[in-house]
Amino acid sequence: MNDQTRRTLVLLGVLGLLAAVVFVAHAVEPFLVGDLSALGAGGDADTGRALNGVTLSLGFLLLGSWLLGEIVAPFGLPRVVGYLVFGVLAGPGLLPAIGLPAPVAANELELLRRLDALAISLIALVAGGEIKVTFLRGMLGRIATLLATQVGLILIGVAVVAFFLVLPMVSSLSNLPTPAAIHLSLVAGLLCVANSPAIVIAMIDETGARGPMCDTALAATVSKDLVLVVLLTIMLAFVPIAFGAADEGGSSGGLVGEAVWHLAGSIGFGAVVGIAMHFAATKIEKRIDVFIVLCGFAIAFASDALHLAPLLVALVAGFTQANIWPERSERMFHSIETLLLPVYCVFFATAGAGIRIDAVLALWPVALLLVGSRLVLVWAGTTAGAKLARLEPGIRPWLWTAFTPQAGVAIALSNEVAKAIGDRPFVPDLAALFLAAIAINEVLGPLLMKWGLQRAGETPSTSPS
Amino acid sequence: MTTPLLLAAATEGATRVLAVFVGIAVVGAAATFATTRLYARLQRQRWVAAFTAGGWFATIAGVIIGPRVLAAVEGDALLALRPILGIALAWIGLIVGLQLRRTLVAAIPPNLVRWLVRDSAIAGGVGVVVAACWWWAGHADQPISTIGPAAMVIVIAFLGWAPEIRTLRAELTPGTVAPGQQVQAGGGLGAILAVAAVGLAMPVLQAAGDGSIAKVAAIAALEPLLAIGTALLLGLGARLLLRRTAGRESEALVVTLALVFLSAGIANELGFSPLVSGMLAGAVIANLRDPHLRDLERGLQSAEPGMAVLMLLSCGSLAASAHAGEAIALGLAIAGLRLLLKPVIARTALRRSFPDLERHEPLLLGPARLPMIVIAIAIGPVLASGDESAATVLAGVMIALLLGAIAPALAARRRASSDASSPEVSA
Repeated sequence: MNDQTRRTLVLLGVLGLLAAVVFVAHAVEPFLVGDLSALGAGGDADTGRALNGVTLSLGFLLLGSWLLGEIVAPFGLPRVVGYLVFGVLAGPGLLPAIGLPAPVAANELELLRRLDALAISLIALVAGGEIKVTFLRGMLGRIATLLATQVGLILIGVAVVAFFLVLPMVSSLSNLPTPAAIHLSLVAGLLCVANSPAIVIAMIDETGARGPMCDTALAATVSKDLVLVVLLTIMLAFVPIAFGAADEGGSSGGLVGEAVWHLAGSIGFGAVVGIAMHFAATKIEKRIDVFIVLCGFAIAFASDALHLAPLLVALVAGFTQANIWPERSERMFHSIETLLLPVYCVFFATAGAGIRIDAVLALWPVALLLVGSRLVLVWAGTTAGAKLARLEPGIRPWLWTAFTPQAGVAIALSNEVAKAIGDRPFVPDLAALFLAAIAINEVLGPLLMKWGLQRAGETPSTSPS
Repeated sequence: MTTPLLLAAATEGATRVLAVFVGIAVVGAAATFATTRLYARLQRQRWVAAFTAGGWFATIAGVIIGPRVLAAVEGDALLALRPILGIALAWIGLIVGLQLRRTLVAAIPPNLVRWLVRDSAIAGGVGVVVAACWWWAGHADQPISTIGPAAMVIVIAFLGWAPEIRTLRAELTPGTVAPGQQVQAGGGLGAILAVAAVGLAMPVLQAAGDGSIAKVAAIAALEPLLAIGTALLLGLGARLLLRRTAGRESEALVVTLALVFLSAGIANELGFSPLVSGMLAGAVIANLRDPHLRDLERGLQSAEPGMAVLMLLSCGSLAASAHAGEAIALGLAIAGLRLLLKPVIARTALRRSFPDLERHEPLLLGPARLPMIVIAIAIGPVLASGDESAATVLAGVMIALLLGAIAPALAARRRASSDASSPEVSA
């Protein structure tokens, strides 16, 4: 037995023991802990139980996902996939479907989701620090060309596939009036445009990849978020027209105003946060990591209160610091990088735990069709866009892989669309279909991206240097 | 959470948003200031150090952001505080437990043990009387499962003391070095004693609420065993995993955080205090003597000030439902009785071993100060029940802790009177 096998077996043993401890703890809790309703708001026992159990779930997801990431890494799989898969195994979707209790209950997962904004803030701070103004200055036009081609092709291509193939395959969606079907097809297209900045950053970080593909993918992914906000606003404005209910959906002016505030406010607030963080950081003598975590919380908390996007705020904050004071902000970025591993583990495991297994099982053939057409169109749109934008020839065939992962952004878009359409009978099926497709992309995307980075020669083991 | 690209609808008014912002600004400014060079310079001054060691700074910030002033932390945010504070309690428990290294325990001088036993018996006895008076004066109709843990906190508030002596005596003389060390060591041991008392009393008090003697006995027997088993499992697991991280900082951080979360989480599930669970796990780690665990110890200890600040900040919100008059009376009683009792007990204990110690030695005032661990212990019943009486005891303990910061002023006065009465000065 070689060292690697022994190591894998030890890690598997620890993982098994951890799972056993968690199952036993959950099983004996009702006997050892009395009434937990006092913990919950308004004497709610379920909330009380979730508050009591959330810390164990947090520890379980953190350690378990890290262990599984370490177990799968020697097999050439991205650690992020390990984190996601562990989340699926631990979450409320999979085990209850086969009659076993879930280690992480649904209401505990809801509480853990509150950490997402903190994780997104820290991930985006690093991402913002990676984007250099010199790179953007030379690339702005090219990225615009790439995105215009890619977004246009995916949006229209997926909408066509959805209109003619996907919607007719789902019984509740097959007999919709034409305007509604067109609208939903375009919504499906929009969801397929979205990809995950968090996974892109995590994959670049994990593989240690450096090069034009990483820089372009990061800048384009971030810029795409801005495009998505605008497109979503337009799409939501058409909900009343598409569904023949003019009194629904709110005023278009209000939506536009919110979108402008969301974009401009986030960028402006992010710049202010970046400058404030820099000046505070220069005065700090020790424990800069504590300061960073506090800043992450502050960004998450303030973004929530002001209805801004924490991702954008933190991204601009990181960008501001790294580009105005490149040398002086180095210490801070180094500290954030140390903190990122536990953040990734919890963030991606939570994302995995949130995957609706029932939806995937019920709609997998349709979801697979949607995923398949998305992949083809991402490949076609990115490759064509890269050619039109005259990006470096070496990265053109592989750049598309960086746009395949989906996670939080796509889920948020899907939820927002479902909310805007209201409680029509087909909405649960529509939401389940979208979530099933996103779940498949969530696990498949990192695998493709790692492969793409390797083929583009940007990972340390494959780079020409 | 506000997810990216989510066009959230406004649900709350501008006043609330402003309050949240002022709250963030207050905490942010305080946290940033606490890490600056200027603050480090100011801390060298005795008065500033006394002020911050008493926790005034963070407690006031906590009250400002709490429900009574800005209300930046209330409702859902207050609910979210519970798991966070459970984690902080486990963390503090781990730090306390790390002191339980066999070699250190073996080196405890017998006179210090005698002092602690005498102090615990006398002060603890007074604490029982105070707790009984408090119960009799207005809480006799409440169930024991609710009122018991809060009353226990009152008793524990009389045990141990703060190990900090720098603000009492800027410079130690050859004759005060050893007594000073005993005051410090006694403070550390007192914290262990207090947490152990919680570990033994809390499950019994909680189970006693059901009125079933069989359940009380079963839980009292089972929970310490479960706590020890959990601690062994966590300590050994941490060692195994840390050996595999080979010193990589980010992986060691994952193991450290997982240890703290699991320690707190298992304690919650099995019904014992995260403080106790953390302390036992810390004791196991301290005695495994593995070089890899030293990094873990350093990592845990480096976060100690942060955890203390989090505790004090949260107290301002958690104690918001306290009965103000009762809390002030309780705080004054605890602080006043400690100030009367503890220096006398300390003088009796120390002068036996150090006969040259002056009668007005400022170090003797050290044991009058409440240890910070009592705040952590007092938070437990508030988190468990959210009851008004538990919040009142927490507020009383906070007041007593803050009043303890006046000890340096008294010490300075003692020093002055001692100098004035010494033969050299008289001459």
